Amino acid sequence: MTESTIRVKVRDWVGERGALEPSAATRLAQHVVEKRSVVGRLVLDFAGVGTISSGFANELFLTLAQVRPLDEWRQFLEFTGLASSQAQVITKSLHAARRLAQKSP
Amino acid sequence: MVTLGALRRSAEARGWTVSIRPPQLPKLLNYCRYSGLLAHFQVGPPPEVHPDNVTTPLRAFAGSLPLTDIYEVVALAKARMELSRAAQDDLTLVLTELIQNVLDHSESPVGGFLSARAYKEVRDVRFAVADFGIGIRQTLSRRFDIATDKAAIRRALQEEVTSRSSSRNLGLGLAHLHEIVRVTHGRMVIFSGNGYLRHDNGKDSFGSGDVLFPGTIAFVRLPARQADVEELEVIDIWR
Repeated sequence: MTESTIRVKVRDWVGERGALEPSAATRLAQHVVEKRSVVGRLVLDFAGVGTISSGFANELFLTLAQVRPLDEWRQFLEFTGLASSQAQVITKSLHAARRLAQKSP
Repeated sequence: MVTLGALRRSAEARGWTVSIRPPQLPKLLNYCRYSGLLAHFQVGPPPEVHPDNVTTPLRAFAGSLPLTDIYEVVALAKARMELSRAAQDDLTLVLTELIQNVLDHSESPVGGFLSARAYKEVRDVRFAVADFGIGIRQTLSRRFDIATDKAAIRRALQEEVTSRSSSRNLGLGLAHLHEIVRVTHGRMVIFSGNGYLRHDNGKDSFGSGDVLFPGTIAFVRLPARQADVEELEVIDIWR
């Protein structure tokens, strides 16, 4: 990890109850956007987060997409610590949010 | 909230004769009885205590995700049988997706209802989420031309089909629920209006019944898996 990379523990932002509520994703996305303005790259660490709902994942990507296109976020954002079920939810949301952006630029 | 019982008493005080009948479809009626819906609306007896199962009290929700209730249902299932971490996640996710759908789409004037049942001998968790809202067909008709309730349910299960009731809806919730039930060899029944989906043994069957359900009700039965090995994925989600 370079000096300009920081690790964000997602659990610290979603609390003990995990990533179910869309509002928790709004808080996380705002934190990511703020941090991104001072560091080059962020690693979102989902270790210990538990269940991720599609509402949470949708909100995360749609909020990030308001700041810059999702494909641009790729160079700044890395996801780690995802179990397979979590990765499925996150990936589907990302792809759906991307397609939505393509339909209505 | 005005219960159906209060409505009946009010009508009877005016000298009117009112008959309130719960849905007569056997599975619906059974659910309404054991979940406590009949008692909640004061149109039937409370659920009987059964020695072989534990049924959570009927929980009403509105406005936001009832996280405490969701975790209590998962805790009930966990206490009743050794649930793997993955099975707990599946249960939490399925409950959350169903409830979020009610909150986002149903426009139910009385919110939604959640009930769950765990059996001593049968290693599965059964639960239902019901609302008395506008139903799936009317919700989807904001964006799609759909002729029947049956067709609406079929359409709603497809990925990225959504009414966009909320700006964050991307049409993944029901599709994901359906996938979890399929992969875990669970069962699911969704009634909305007079349409239904029955998922059993990995197969979907869609149909139309004689009874109109005023809203949407989903029953899900998830097997309680014990194996608890879930590897962390090393994947590039951006692909």
